[in-house]
Amino acid sequence: MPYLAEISRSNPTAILFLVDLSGSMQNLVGGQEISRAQFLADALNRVVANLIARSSKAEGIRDYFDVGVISYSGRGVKNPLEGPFASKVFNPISLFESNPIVVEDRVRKIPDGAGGVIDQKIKFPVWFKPDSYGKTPMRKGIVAAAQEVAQWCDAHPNSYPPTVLHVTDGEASDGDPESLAEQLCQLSTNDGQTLLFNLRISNKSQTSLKFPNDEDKVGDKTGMALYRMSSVLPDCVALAAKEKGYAVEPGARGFFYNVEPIEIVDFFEIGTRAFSPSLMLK
Amino acid sequence: MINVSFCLTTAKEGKFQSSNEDFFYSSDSGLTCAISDGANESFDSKNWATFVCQEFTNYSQKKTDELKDEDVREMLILSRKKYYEFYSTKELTWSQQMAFDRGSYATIVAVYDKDDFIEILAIGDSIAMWKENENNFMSYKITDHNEFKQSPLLLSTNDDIDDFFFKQKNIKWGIHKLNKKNILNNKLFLLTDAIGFYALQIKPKLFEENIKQLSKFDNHSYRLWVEKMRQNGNLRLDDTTIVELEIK
Repeated sequence: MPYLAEISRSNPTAILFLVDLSGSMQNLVGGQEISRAQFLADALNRVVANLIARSSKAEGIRDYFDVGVISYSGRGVKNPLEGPFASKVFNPISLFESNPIVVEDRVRKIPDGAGGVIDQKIKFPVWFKPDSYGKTPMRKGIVAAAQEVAQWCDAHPNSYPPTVLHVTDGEASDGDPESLAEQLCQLSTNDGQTLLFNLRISNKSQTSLKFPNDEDKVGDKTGMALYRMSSVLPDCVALAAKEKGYAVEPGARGFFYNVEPIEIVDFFEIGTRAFSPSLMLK
Repeated sequence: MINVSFCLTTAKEGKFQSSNEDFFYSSDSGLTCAISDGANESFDSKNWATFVCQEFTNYSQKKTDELKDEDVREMLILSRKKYYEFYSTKELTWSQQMAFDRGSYATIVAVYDKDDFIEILAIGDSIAMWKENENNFMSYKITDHNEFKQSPLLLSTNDDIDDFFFKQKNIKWGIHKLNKKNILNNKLFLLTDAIGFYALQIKPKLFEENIKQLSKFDNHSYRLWVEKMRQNGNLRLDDTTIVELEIK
């Protein structure tokens, strides 16, 4: 039975963020003064902080997750993290906890309980800085992801399989990535094949899709290819999506299309919500 | 009177026995006891499970009348008070603070002796089991192994879902009154979810055989038994605790 392995320190799972940092990511998010790249960086930093919080115990961090980032852009395909993360793509979550570049003090608005809002100071750790430049070598990015995932699966045969969360705002500039994505998804542990979830950002007022289960709903060639590249949600992830309020039909795929950048946050949160009875927040 | 016949426990990961977040506590009076399973994805569910067990037993041994919602609320408040007192002097890093703010979570099954009957308070997916006749085991609050697939409602260190929690009485949690005459051989079992799921899934006769075997075990032999059961796919990987009580 796939996607049922318990996530533990002995058998951690892996989460790989595959991110498009091409020039178009400089575009500003509709109605706001920050770029798509900045929005992506914030979402990525936030989800890593949440993974740390989920792994933090009073006595320290438990390494339930190996986390990595691969970016592709006009600067090539690389691990964009620096310092102790630079030497390899996948690093244990405890290394992230002990090595943020900076822990910023940010302010968020919360309800004051009387119909208004108040400012609340929060700590916001940063590992990943925004960047954007040049073309969109998506194929090369997927190949690099597959190499890392293959090595990880070999080293963790009994683990819940890796989840690759891919965010892009454009079409591949180096050819059709579909067959390579298929190969990436064939990499597996004893608990199942690698999960690839895709999100395409767009500011255009087109119909957006979240977890569709029908290719015909997508409507255009690029979207259809990304749909086919996306894994069918296993029950555990479908449950997480439903808990977030998404309508998830049988056969739904891990695919967001033409969504607002703000929805990257939900996409990451659900994608990293590998369900395991012993790990989930009951 | 409640006597503990045996209490066997082992951690999810054999090499990390100190990480076991299941806890069992029996009051000195012999009138109350409780088992609690701290949720894995919690900042400090080990201490939370401990405080919950202690407060949900010590408070109630003073009371002879039936448990009411306000008693549950009071015991929950006392448990939180202990938890927050414990952390009031500790300095937390940014990541510990984030995890602390997310809260700690735990189940409880508490048993209260009320002379002719007992009351069982069950919150979350830990269960009590007993036999009323030779043929079948009864259980509370979960009665079917499929119910373990649903998300249980747990006791939280945060009070922001308390209103929702108390509205879920008799749906997600509850209090069961059980006449002592209806407990065959005076034996009542408390189980955390991994072994509870197994016990409700198998035939009663097999569970009875397991119990006979377990009654001769110490924690070491129990650990070996659990590991073998996990390898065979009979028990899922989790902290695993079973307690046998004699109710007189």
